[in-house]
Amino acid sequence: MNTQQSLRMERPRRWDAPFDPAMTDKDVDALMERPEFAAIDASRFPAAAPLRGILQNDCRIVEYKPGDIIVREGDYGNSAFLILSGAVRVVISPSLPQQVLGRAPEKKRKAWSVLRDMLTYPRIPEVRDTSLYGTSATDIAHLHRASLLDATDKAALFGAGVNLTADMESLPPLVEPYKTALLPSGTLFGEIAALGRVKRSATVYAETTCKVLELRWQALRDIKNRDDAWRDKIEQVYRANLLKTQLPEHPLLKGLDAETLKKIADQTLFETYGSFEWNVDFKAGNKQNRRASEMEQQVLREGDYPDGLLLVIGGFGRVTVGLGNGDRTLTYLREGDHFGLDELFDAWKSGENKVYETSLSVLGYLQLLRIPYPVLADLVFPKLIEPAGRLIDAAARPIEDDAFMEWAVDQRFINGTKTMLIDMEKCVRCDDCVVACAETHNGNPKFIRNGPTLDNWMVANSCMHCVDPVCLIGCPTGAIHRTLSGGTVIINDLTCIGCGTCVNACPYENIRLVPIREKSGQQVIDPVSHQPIMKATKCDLCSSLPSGPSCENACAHGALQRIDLQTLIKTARIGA
Amino acid sequence: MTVQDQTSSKQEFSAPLAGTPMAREQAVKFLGLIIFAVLAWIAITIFVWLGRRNLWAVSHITGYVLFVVVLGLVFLKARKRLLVLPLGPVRDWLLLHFVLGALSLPLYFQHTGTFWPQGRYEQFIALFFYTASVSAIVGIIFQRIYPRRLIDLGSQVIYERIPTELANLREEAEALVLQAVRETNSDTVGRYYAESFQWFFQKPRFVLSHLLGTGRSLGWIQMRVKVLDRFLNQTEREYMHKLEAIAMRKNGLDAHYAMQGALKLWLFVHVPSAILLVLLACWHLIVVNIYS
Amino acid sequence: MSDQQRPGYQVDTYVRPNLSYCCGRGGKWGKSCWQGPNGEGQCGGASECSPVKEGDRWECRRPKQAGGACAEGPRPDGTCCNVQPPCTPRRTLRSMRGMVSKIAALLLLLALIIGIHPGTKSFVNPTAIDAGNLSSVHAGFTRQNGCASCHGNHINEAGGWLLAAFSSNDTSEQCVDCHRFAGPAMKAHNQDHAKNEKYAGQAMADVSCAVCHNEHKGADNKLSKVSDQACASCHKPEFGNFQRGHPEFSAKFAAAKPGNIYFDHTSHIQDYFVNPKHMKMGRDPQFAAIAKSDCSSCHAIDKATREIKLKSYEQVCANCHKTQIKERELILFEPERMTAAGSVLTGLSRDGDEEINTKALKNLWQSMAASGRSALSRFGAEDLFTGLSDSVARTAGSAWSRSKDLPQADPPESGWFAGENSEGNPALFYRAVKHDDPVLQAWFKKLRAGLADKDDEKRALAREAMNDFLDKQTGPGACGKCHAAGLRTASKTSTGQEWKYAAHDATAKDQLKPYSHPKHLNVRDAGLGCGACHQMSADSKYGKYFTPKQVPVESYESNFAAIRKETCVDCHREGQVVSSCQTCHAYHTKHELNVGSSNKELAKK
Repeated sequence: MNTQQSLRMERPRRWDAPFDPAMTDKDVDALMERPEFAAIDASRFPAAAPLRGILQNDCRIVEYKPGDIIVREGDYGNSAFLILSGAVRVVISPSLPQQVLGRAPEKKRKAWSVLRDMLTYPRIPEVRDTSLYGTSATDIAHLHRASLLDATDKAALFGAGVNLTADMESLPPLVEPYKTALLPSGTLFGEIAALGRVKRSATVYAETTCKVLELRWQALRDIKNRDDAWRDKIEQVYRANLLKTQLPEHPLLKGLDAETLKKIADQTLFETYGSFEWNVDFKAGNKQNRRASEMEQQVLREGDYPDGLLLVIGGFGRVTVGLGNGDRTLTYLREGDHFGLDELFDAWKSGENKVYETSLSVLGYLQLLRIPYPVLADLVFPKLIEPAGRLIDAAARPIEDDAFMEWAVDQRFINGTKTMLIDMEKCVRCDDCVVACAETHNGNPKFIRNGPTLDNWMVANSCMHCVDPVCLIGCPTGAIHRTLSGGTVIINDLTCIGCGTCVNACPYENIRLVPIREKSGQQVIDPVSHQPIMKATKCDLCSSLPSGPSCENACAHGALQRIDLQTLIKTARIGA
Repeated sequence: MTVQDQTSSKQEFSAPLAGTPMAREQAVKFLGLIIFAVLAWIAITIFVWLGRRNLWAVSHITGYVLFVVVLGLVFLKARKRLLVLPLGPVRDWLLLHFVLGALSLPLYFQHTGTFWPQGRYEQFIALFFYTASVSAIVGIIFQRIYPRRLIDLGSQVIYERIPTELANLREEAEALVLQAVRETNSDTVGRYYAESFQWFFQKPRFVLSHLLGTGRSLGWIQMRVKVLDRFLNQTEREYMHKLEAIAMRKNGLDAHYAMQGALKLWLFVHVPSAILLVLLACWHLIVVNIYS
Repeated sequence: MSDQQRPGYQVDTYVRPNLSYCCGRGGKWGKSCWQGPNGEGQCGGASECSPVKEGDRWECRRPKQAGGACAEGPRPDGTCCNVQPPCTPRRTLRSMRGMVSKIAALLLLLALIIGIHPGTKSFVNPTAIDAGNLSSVHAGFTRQNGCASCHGNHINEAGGWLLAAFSSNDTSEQCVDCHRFAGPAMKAHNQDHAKNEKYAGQAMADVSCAVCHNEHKGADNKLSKVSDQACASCHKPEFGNFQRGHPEFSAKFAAAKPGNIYFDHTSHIQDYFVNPKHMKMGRDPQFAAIAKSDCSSCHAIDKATREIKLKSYEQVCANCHKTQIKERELILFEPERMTAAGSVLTGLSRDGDEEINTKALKNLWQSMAASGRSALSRFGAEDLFTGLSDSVARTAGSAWSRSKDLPQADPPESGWFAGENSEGNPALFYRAVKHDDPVLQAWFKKLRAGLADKDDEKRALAREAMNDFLDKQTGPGACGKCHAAGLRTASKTSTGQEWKYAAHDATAKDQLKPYSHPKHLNVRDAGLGCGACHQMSADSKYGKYFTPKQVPVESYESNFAAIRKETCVDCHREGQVVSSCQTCHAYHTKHELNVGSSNKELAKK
């Protein structure tokens, strides 16, 4: 350890930065009296995280004016909302125009300031400005609150000749073709995006002045885990909403009219396999050197009789066919894909029973919608254009050609949207990528140019910004989060407490804990435990830079790319 | 689904992981740049040809063109420093660097008209130009050959971690030898280790052999094992085999050290001589303009 | 090797290639410590943790990153158990490369600054601006002033020296201090072509010396050598080589200019030297025998340069023509009349009134009888009558004034005589003494002066007299036999050159370099000798030009056929003998060195 003086700083704790510091005991009391919370048995909550604590630190009460947009369709979000008072409307269809939703552009830093920092960064690793710590990091004011009243073409929304004043009590209804529904007080919404780490499915706005309780998803998780009523309600709403929103969006069913879709939806079943926390088993399996496919749950096998078309709406699935003493991966399925169409369509056409030609297993977790065969035969197949080519045809390809896919699926690299793929045959080991990353991040690189390799393809240890970011699951403070629009996963250094949960959670070991230092080079030490203060760091895809990922830009030989492996593996993409 | 809707199940199956879209893009850009450079060179050659027949100041203008080309070459380094400015990714600039470098060779001789100039400082320009060009060609050769060989070694290591890995392997080997001695109550293996493998595990060895791709180090390891074999019992033999396995891993590390080192060290010739070349070229520009 | 399987992998520290220093233990092939050096390049950690006392026990506080709490724990006195001596951090390769580059650049700048100082012992020129050695012809006299001999900017002090980069400075202005030409130095071929309508409309920019003549190419550099392409800047279309592209030589190349002497090679070689009928009357058959086939019998080949001079009259022509000279007489007066020459001399007309003429003549004879020679010499110059004795004059005068016959006597071989001439008529005539007889030369001058007379009649008379004088068959002294052409075309102010065989003068228009006969003799078809290049042309009308009428020079037909290009191409072509433009053509006219003026201009500065 340095013989110099070390800075003493208390080790941060979960609620050092409450969601809203202004939440008072009185607010909490008022909440506890509401029926939703009064019914909860507070004794089931641990002393370290009591229900009151959760309400006070992981929730906040927000007021909205008429017209304010509470959540926007398509955003990523980490919160659910409980309507306390007032009228709130959800836009069912069609989506509001982008301009109305007022997407705030992510603030990019100016190129010149970045350039200046690139030349003057401290030559000491992991320097932090500790004076920034301890202040509230979640600042309500910075949240861009867009309003329907800001729309440039108000006539399209509200009709011509409608009088809109700033101080009106209630917003006039939206005109055709927009269909909305009223959400009464006590409704919980936004939990799908918060819990499932998917985009907001619909836009919700305030019709009158209203008060809403915003719950961080950590709060929702904790309450859901401790209270059955909440868990059931959430899951029931979860299923119903998923069905309502995901079904019409599925590529296979696009083009069907709303009524048909409703009929289908009424019959469709929702199934989940695996668990959101699949990374734990995955890493344990890795340590024991077990083959990934041995640990996967089977949804169905070759030779089983199909009884419905499976639509994938979340997670990943592996399609295999038996080969020798093992299973050969033909492709993997993700959101927007379907399974079993070939067999069912054959059965419908020929009138005979057909069995599955391939098996389906779960990669982590898999959310399916099952449309029963009679519904298909009645409503879908008559209008379907016969599919060209069959999934099983992929088995005719040489094994060698699919080696990369097998490996990528086994390692779960298919999860990534910005996987760092390095062609080691082009890479000359110059480390310009690491240097560029360091220079644009105050001297600290955020990845290691090493990782699992198949022949000349290396997937380096850099955050892949997964479709399903399991690192988010355990974070006590929400420091690691998804940005509102892009889905980039970022760690907010100001609120990270260095617990290491995300570090352990990441199945690819792309997040690292580092001890931080002061500008002078002293390590920052917790006065109580005498351990250095740690922070989690990982690739942030240079989201605050105007130029995009520095690593990809800096690689002189075009060896390094940030890509979704889907673009390289032309798997059996079923659908458009 | 309606008839017009195109979203029927159109299935594309796995394609072999051939060139990625980026690689194909770069190949097209490279071809375009080469064509452009060839055309530019033809234009310059025609210009020189015309100039000699019209009493133009040919060497002045070829000099300026060459100077611009050299500045263009140097800009690769500047582009890496100014990474955040939207000037195009560095890989495009490297393609330009290759092409400009190739273009500079005939241009240089068209400008000087001789392999070795008369003036003393001009001779230094020639010297640095040649070292920069030759080192560039050597560097290209390294970059084509060594990455594939590094992949074929089986596993990857970062250059800066090699000392630590080496130290770990050395500790492992020494611990193994000590264990062997303890277990078999015979110090044969230990003494022989001190005579042979200790030297081997000290630091990277057989560097030149790894650069040239000969199998000298493998032969050496095998021979060392064979030499001792007749003095060992079965248990000791097993330990020696384990030691051999560690030595093979260390051999792979040596190969990494040698080849990654070469991939880094050729720039020690190329970059300084390029910098000196540029400085002298600027000086040349000034002096020529002062005296004419 | 580092694979994902290695335990503790997820807490591996980042590799930081952007920093300048790394742990020195790695340099000694040990394990780098996890702390790494600090920014100034000092060792980051000698011990692995700083132990903390909990109660009465010291506890290890090594972070998880480095492996968590160690098994042994701190020593009883509270120091870490894993203490190592601090390392000396070493520079990373990337940082070293940067240092090498910076140091190299600094050394270079230093070298340039030192090298620019003139007088560095090793080289004449300052190393830092040395553009190459001067050619040996220039190196000597420029040594004193060095670069400033030609480059004016060199002697400015630093600021002005650098600023000179922005002004143009033509070193060529110094060249003309010493190098002079027949015309303007900077104009093409040293002539002002702009005044010539042939080149109207063409840009005729000045061409400074440095455009073609490049110095600083070493001591052995031939400055005068200029590439063929430079010529092609004006002479278009450009051709690749002499053989294929050079235009055919002019139609009368090497056969365009007649000499001053009428000498028909064809008739001499094929007839006069061969035919025995010509071997009489004092003609030397031995000479003829040689001369008919050997050009060197008349032409001094051993002293050949551009021209091959003729041997002297005595050595060549006199062998046959000696006797002819004395045979032909200059007839001045006859008893009853005078020749045209006499008329020119005296001013008395030949034809005209009988009465007046006769009377005038009588007066003349009487004065001759009375004064002798001076009666005649008072008409013109003395030298017209050199050798005319008084007695001859008196004899002629007294005889003719009394219409008496001249006394019988044999005319002398040469000199003035009054008596029967070769035709048997009485006359006062002159026979040439020798080949370059001064009297006849004087008479030629007199008659030529008469050609410029203002009076038309007198001029016509003089012309007639001149024609008589230069008549091929009957001209006195047989001068006209050979010298007529040269004499007819001579200018009035010439100084006797019109009598001589004129060599071809390289005028400004003729831009060929002097042809070197010695190099070419017996090179091509040695058996043919001169005929290898100079072939006789059988059907040329040599005499066409040599008529009394003034004919233009262009109508001259030489005995010899023009030399065609193919004659030269036999040897001067690609792969064989040099055939660049400069081999035959000269760019500059009459280059003269004005030595002694060097540095005059510099001294003024």
